Amino acid sequence: MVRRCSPSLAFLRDALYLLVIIRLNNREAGSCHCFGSFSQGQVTSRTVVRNGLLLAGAVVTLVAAFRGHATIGTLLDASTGTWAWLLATVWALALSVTMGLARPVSEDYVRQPIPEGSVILPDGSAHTLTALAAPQARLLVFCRRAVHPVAMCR
Amino acid sequence: MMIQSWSAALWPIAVHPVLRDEAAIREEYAYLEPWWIFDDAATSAAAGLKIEFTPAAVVLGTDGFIAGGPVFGEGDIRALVGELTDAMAPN
Repeated sequence: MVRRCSPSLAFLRDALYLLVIIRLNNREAGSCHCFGSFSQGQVTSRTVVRNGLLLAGAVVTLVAAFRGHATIGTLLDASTGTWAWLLATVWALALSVTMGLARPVSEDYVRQPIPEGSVILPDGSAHTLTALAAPQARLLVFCRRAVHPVAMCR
Repeated sequence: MMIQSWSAALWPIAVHPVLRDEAAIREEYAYLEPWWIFDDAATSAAAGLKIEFTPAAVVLGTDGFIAGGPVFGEGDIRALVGELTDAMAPN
């Protein structure tokens, strides 16, 4: 009973959320606050898509519950191959989020390719700027090029 | 310490002070060692980025494009970090 009731409530909640978000997105600017203080951005089409994905997850869980499969039990019984696919999916999602965070800081900002030039890491290895930034976005603060020290790097 | 606090606030963007690789400068900025990198004298990153005076800052994106800056002067660098902090903040 509990196994079916919880996903049913989650489905109803997400469905209701989605209707509210669609209505907000169509009619007026508003803040979602879907995750409390962590979500104070404006409601946009991305919010609708996100809530649609949440609803899809609730549907999958609900269907599994009515077929007699608990989510945790299913995961615990999953094969190594299934776990490998799950981990790969999580990794791909994390990578997508990380790359998405490297977007321009302003809509009007015209992005230029990273120019040639290299830096030397503390271990003595030289890396081009492009190679340095490939695995992770970087903020480089040039502290000391002139003779005099730079106060803000103190 | 600014670099340290920026590193925490801007994750997953890594923050690096870029210095000239000279013994005196290493000693002077020893407290930045966990983060520092050095400009290559032979193929200077500063020259490629047209960093002609300091302080200056630039954001390198993972897609091979500059994602912010270069900006010069303490005020503009703080403004850039503020924009990045806002962009990193959860929605």
